[in-house]
Amino acid sequence: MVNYYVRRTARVFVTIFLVASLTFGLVRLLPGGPFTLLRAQLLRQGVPADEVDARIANLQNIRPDEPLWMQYIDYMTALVQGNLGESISLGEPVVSVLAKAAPWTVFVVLVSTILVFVVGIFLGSLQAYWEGGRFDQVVTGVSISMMSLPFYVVAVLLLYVFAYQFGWLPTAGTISNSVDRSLSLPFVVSALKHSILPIVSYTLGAAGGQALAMRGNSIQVLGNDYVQVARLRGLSDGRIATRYVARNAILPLYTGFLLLLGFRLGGTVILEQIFSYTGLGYYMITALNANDYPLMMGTFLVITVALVVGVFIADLTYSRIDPRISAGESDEAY
Amino acid sequence: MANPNDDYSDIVSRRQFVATAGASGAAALAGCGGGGSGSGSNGGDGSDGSDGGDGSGVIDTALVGATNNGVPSNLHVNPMGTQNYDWIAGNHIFERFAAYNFSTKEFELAGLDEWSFEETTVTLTLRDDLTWDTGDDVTASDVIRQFRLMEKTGSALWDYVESVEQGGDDKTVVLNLAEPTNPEIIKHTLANGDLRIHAYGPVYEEFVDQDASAVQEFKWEEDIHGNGPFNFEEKRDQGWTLTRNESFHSADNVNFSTYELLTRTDNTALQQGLLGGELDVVTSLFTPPTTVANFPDRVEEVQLPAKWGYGALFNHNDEHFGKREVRQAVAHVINRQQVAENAGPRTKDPAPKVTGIAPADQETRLGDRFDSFESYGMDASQTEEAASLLREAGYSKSDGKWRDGDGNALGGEYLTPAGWTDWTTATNTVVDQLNSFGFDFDINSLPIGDFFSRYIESNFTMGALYWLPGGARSSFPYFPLRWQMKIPDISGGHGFTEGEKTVPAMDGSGEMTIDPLEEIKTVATTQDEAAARETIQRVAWHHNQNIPVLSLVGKVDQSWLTDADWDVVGPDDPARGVKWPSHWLPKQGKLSATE
Amino acid sequence: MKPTETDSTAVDWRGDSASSPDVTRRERLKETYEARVRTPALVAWSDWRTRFGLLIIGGYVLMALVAVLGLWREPSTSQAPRLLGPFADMSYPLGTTQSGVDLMALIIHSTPTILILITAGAVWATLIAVVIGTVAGYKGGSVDRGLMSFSDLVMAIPGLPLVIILAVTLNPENPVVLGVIINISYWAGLGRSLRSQVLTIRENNYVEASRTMGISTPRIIVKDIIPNLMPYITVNFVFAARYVMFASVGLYFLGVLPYSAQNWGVTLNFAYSNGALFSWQAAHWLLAPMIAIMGLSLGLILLGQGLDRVFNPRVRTRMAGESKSTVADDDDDTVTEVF
Repeated sequence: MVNYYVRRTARVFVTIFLVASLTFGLVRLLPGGPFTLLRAQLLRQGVPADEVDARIANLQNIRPDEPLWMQYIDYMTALVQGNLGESISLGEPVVSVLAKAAPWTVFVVLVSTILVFVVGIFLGSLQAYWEGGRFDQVVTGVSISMMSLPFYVVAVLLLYVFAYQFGWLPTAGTISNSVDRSLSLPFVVSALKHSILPIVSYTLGAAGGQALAMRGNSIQVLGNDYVQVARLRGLSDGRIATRYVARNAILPLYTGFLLLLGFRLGGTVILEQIFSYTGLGYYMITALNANDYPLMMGTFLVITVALVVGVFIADLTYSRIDPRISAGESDEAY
Repeated sequence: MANPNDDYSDIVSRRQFVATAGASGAAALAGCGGGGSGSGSNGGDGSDGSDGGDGSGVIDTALVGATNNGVPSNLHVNPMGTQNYDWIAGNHIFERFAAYNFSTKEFELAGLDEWSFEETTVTLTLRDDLTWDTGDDVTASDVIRQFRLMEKTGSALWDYVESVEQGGDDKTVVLNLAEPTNPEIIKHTLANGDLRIHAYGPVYEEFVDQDASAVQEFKWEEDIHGNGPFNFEEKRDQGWTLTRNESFHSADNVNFSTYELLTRTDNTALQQGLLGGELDVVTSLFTPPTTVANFPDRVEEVQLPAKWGYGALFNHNDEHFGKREVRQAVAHVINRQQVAENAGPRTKDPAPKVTGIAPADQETRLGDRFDSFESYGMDASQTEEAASLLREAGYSKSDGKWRDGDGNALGGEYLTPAGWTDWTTATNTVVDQLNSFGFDFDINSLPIGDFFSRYIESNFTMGALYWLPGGARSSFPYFPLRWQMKIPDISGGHGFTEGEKTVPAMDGSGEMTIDPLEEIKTVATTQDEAAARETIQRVAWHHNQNIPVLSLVGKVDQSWLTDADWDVVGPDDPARGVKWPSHWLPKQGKLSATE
Repeated sequence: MKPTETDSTAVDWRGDSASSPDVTRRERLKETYEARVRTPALVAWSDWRTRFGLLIIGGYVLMALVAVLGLWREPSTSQAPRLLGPFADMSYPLGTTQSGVDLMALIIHSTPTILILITAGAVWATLIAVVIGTVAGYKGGSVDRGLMSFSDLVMAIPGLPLVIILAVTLNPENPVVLGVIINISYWAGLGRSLRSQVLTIRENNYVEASRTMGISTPRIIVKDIIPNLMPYITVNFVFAARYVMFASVGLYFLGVLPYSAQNWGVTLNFAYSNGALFSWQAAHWLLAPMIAIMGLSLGLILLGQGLDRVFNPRVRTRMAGESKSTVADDDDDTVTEVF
């Protein structure tokens, strides 16, 4: 028991260490120096080229290029101290940039993922219950069509309808400029209004898929012996549904949650760009365009950590729900 | 919006009118705008017209604009900062020396009361009432401090200036020039787009004794004091909040309390802001015609020449494209009109002649000689001319491709920057035109960093690059003509050689020999306008014949205003010709809140 | 799903049908064909979703053929009037773009690349997953632990950000390379679930038998184990393909991926940034690529759903009218990956 938790926790750190090393290497392969975009911007602004070059030379002077292994050691040491370096393009500590960004991303991803599960499980179990009926057919049809739309297409369409045409919801940003950044009612309302479209567009297709998966699982469970036995024993439908079917159909979905979380955290790169939602994904693209190594590594790492921690929590809770996991032989069964 | 079809023709016709007035109605307007050099007369207009009720109060409302320079909480207002200076905000907080009016083609003074030019001295006199928002005067020593800092940072001004000193009083600054300099160059340098009077003593004094990098690294985020129409109030992720500066010299012109600049990084979001009424003004925003047609009535477009635009760059070290005949053939094949219409009808001007002068300035600068310049077929693919030039140069066509003696097809990679969508369209058009004539080009779309590196390393055959350096200074041909030969932006990676060139004579008989780079330099030091004009025409002729860079289309900048809740001067007012209307008009009293 | 069964180790994917030593090779072949190909295929085909899905995908393959054989004009600027509406001129049935490109040509000529892209990505993902999953599941022990730790690591790397960095670094224009990059880490989750299926299959008598007969591991995996996983693999192949398409189009839409010719994602990006969202005159420019994307993914999903029936034992047995299946009642399966 203890052994399992210890090993599981150790794995979190090993994973983060390896991912940090990997990103360090990857990011350095990027073409172009960190200031090429800045140079192009300044030129475009009409600053004469000689002046631009002089300015950029000055920027480079204070960040001399160390040998790669030195950079690696510096980076890893700093990382242990919770320091992700300073963003080249923003001139601010990466940690402070990301600390402002991360809550928004986590908020959107978490809320939409929970919605995906709740809606998916609810619809899917109803479908299984009325398998083959009209409700089942309609929901299946809708789910399949939603799944065939990539979320960014949904996002663009929702943006068009609700923000551009009707103007009910804001088109960009996380909260409105006039609201104070404190935990007050206007703040919450404004934050919710800005997050509705990202969350909904990120939920629809995935919920459809989840409903179909839940439906399949439930139908499969319904066919199992123990359900038949339960039925023969004359247990009530409600009891069968909650005790046997729901539990055994949801469990496999729960493991899928891990995978889903990874995909969804990564997907924010596209989502946040569409809504100019200043979360992690947004800064990832900003950093990419600016060849801002520290910011990019930081964003990548923070997304990874969020994912690893999410999986870790899911693992631990799963082992509570399904005792086989921590019991022994199949402790790494998924 | 209820009846978009009905509105449509109406909007278009009105906009077209605005556009015409902005771009080419200049001659007619020159008279009225040029008379009073700058803010004196304009300021008077504004205060007389609308200030009657202002004494009692300013309307408590916000003009909402936008910034697309990033997230304001990451930005700052140190105009000397290399990174993350938000000029859209800074331009409100600080007053400028002077401005160039694209309608009247005249300079207008702003923070300056007067500038005067002699042989090797320039005297600048600051407005008496130009003060910091603390109430202290902006003095000569503030400006001198700023010029000293600009010397450190390698500003273009110091290419001509040798030293600065205080004049007779503490509102006068004297610039001593290294050699006699064409006043137009100094004026353009001082009126350059984003140059502002910003060196507030308590903040900037400490940088005078430090390395340039210190001031360029400095992020001015606290204790911000300016001298412009608006004060810094606050910045956050969502935007800037600026408030009316009561001690601004023309504060009477501003009758509203707040100027907000919302974060909108994406063009589509900005367009939506105008469409939905969320934004009152947008400084500069490319908007495709179909979207413009859908804008409601209240949205007004101001078109201003960018003096910048899509061109094609040759590698002069390339064995084929280094040949003049090949470059001319390319020029003949490309249909510039079509490029303009594909990439952005209404906002792209095809260059009438291929040379280093902005499209709108070509006729005036070239005068009588305009007609003798080769046009290379602005709105046609002149394939016959191109074919005969190529045959002359020893190429022949087989299997649908032009080939050299060894059978190699004429072409290669055509570089284009990724993400600049209108440029990508232009590139697609150009390459389609070239390939259907028989060149063999592949488009290679590169991230912006890679793109510039390939040019700097001279590792390319042909590609897209702007053919004018941009900014108001590009309207003075000295800058773009010289720029086309040196292209410092790519460290001269196009490989245009210095020295004497032989081109057909301007009068059509025989040849002439010219050292274009040496000749254009004389324009900088002459104060004789006629001589400068003659030299400019000779060098422009060389560019027309030898094609250092291929001029294709000029860009038109679009700036946006709305008049539903705001009183905005009519389209015929020359004040709209200063970049940017969203910055210039409010402080002139030409964009004010309706009461 | 072609069986490669020619060996003396007869294997039935349902495991319990006896492999008596006296049946002839031909009969065995036939039996395998029945069980492994015909029945599942029939089950699958009996579902309208499979038929419909295959029909749609067939349509796209046809489109790709049209492009490859040059039966429709190549897209090129100024080949038609600008911003022509759909069906306004039947020689440009889908209308044209701002720069006068025939949208139909754009859509058709993007199809071959997209199909290659998604096939490459899906093949890569499923191949790696099958290798890792079966080896880990069958071998067990330290091999299993090693491989699974590795896939856990890969699973911990957020997919799209990694893909973006790789794409910008490697600048891949070849659709095969791009497909592989997009699915570079997709296999990890699939590999894990395949492994747990192998764990149950491994315990079956016939696998035990093969093992005691001293047959080599690769052989057992290929002959005994993979055939039993085939339906599951097929379903996930389809989902992997859909993921590649969504991700690639999304990244093209963002303008992160390099390209030399236009494709659906690039067209979407151009239309979006040229204000197609705000005006009806240009709406078709945005809709055409959207519909192309939707259509193909709809086809893939339907196919996946249809094939899922083959895999889902209860559905299958009922459809095929056979007795209750004995496919392992494994407890973590049918994880429908959702992008």
